[in-house]
Amino acid sequence: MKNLVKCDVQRCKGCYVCISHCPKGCLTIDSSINSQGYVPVSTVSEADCIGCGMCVLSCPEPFALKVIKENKDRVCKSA
Amino acid sequence: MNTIETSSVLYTHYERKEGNQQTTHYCPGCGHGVIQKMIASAIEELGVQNRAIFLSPVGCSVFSYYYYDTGNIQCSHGRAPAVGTGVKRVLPDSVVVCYQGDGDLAGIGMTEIIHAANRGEQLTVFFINNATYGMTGGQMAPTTLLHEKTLTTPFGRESERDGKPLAMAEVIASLDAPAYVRRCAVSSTKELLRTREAVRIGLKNQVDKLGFSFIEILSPCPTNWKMSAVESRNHIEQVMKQFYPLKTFVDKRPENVCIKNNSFPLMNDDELLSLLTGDLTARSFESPVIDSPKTITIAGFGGQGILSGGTLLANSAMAHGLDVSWLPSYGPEMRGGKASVTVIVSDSSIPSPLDEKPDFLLAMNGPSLQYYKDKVKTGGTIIVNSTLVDDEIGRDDVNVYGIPATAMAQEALIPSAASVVMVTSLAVLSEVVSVFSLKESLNASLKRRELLDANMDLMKTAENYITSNFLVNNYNKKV
Ligand SMILES: Cc1ncc(C[n+]2csc(CCOP(=O)(O)OP(=O)(O)O)c2C)c(N)n1
Ligand code: SF4
Ligand code: SF4
Ligand code: SF4
Repeated sequence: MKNLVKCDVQRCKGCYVCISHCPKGCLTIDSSINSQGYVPVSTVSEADCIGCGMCVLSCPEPFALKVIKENKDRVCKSA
Repeated sequence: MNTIETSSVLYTHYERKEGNQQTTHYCPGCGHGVIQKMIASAIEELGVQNRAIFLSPVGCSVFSYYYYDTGNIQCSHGRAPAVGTGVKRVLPDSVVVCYQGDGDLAGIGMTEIIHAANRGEQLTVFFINNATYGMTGGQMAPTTLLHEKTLTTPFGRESERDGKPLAMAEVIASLDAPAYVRRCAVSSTKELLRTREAVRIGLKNQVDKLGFSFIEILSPCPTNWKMSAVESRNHIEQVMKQFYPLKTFVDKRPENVCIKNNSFPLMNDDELLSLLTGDLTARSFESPVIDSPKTITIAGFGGQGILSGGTLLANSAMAHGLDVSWLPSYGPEMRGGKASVTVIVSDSSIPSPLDEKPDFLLAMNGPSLQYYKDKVKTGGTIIVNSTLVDDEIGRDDVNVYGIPATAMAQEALIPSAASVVMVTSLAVLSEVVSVFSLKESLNASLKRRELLDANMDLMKTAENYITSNFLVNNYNKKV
């Protein structure tokens, strides 16, 4: 029942729109800086993730985020 | 296990892009990326990637073709609906994505979008309204809100001075033809889900051939709005939505009217020729022997049938299977002004229809003779309308013939056919086209078919005149 949220830090531009769209507060600003000079997001309290996919849907950067759902009952669509 | 991620309709690596090929060229937090990901997902879900054609506009999204693994065309500013119309009419089963900003669609491209919508073209238009000219640095767009300060409205946009913001969804919805018109936003979780739905519907309508779909999307431009990415979303929620209501304006899906098939049948050259020339069956003749491309300039004043003379010559050369170009030049007035046409005939493709140095000059009046006579190539030929011209030519390196073309045409009671006399002379005196093919092409070249017999008689008169006066019918043999 565990969902995973993955951020490709090299693709993240540090706009934090995903953070504002996550209903469970799973995402936060990381302490690292990527090669483009952006401070990417990272996950906190990943255990709370409900796999809603809003972070992926709201993110402007293709392939910066992905959510891997363990729960097979919920039907989910790509975003 | 189930993964939620970006659709594979977008490349993961942007080979066409310079610099970092893993990230888009958009500013952090820009709405373009959010919307383009949604469009990619919808293309994937509908299973139309292999027939999708993405039309990139001019604006920040000009480089959309970096990202989409679909067909791509980068259109001139504002012209995507016109390009889309063309694509759709020759490829009716393609799925054309018109993606346009507000400067592109509602500014420079207003004409194209209105007419495409009014014709009910089978297109899906995504109108990205960020209320600014993003790419050029934040000038006022037609959609800029009242009192908003931009580079070009430093005191704020005022309706008395700058007009009110243009609500495009409402404008498009006022037309009869569109099948689906909706405005959404990518500002909040709720609106993102609605936008995703609208994007799917808009594209599915095209797959179902339901007609024209227009999806306006309020989209953040954090850079020019001078806000953070999150603030810019709040700005849409709190300010933009007040002026631009989010709703579905038109939805004809329940009526399920399958719009007429407005594409053209694909035709080959012969079919096209017979369509355009009516009853004339396209005929072909043996090619004349021309050793190199020949340029013929017919020049005079409007009313002498200059352009039709060129058409006749061009049609006749085409009947010989030659490549032909026909380039007219005339003033704004229909009668009396300067007129000329340059026809190039060749047995190979013609790189440019422009040629300032003709092999043959058919000079129909004095001024055109003066203008062109020194441009004629050495060894070339000048045929002069001797009724109107008795000027000295002053060149001994060209062949010169005088034909009383205007007098002969007047005698035949078709004064506008003086050029027919000149072109007939050219056929007799040269090997560019045969007199026989000229006669056969006459019907297709005449605007007034009832004058066919009179023109045919005039051609015979001209032919006889030249053969009896010049006694040779090959200019190469004339010394
Ligand atoms: C014919 C022509 N005129 C003007 C321009 C300059 N120009 C480039 S982008 C642009 C406006 C784009 O604004 P918009 O369509 O709102 O797109 P955005 O950049 O905001 O996404 C203009 C005027 C141009 N490239 N070509
Ligand atoms: S899937 Fe939903 S809950 Fe999980 S991180 Fe993304 S937005 Fe938050
Ligand atoms: S929305 Fe995307 S680009 Fe922006 S911070 Fe989150 S992961 Fe990074
Ligand atoms: S200028 Fe505005 S519209 Fe253009 S890429 Fe940046 S944020 Fe997006």
